Amino acid sequence: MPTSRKYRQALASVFSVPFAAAHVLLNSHHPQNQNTGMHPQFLAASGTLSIQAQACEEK
Amino acid sequence: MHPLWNFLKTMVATAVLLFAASLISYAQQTLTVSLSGNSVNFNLTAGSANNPGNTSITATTVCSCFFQPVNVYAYFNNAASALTNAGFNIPSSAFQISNNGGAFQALTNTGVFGGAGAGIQLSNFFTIIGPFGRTHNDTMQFNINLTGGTLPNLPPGTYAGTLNIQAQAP
Repeated sequence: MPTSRKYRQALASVFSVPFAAAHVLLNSHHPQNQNTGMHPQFLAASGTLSIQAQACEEK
Repeated sequence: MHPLWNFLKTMVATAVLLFAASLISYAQQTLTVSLSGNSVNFNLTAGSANNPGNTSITATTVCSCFFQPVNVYAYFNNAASALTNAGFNIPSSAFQISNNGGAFQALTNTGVFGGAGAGIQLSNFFTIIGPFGRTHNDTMQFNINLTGGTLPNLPPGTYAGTLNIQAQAP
């Protein structure tokens, strides 16, 4: 195998480790993953807004 | 020493540092949504397309996360009965939001949250490095359009409902 190709392979394998590991951690172990049963998600947060509309009788 | 060995050592050290940074970032990940107010009121005119809400609301989303896209949604739980009054309903399709000065959009899309056909995606943004957080504002204006179907004949009364604002880092 040419030396340059070895370098490229080494670089690719080294850099693939941390990002892949972080991605697995995020997808499988985050405690907020479980907040919606049907759609496994993580890092979800919400707020609510009360809406009130008054319809009056036409004169 | 062989140059390849030095190169590999540098790469491994870099990988360890990046991995440690990602773990630290993972441990601190948070996503919050806060609203500038918690209620919006409307005075409805029968058959009118323009029934604006009395105030705008800003949803502030802060993501302290690592290389994450973040989506922000607004939705009702039920499209047919977004606002209700004694058996009479205003559907989500009559409820409109203008986000950050954009055109008014009716809440008619099916998203990952809420009822079918009862929401819209307000925005999305990307966070690169978490510990410093990334703040995103969505300023919403509201309108109720009472021109469609039987809505012009809506009986008088108080129609109430709850609009949900939710952010997700998928």
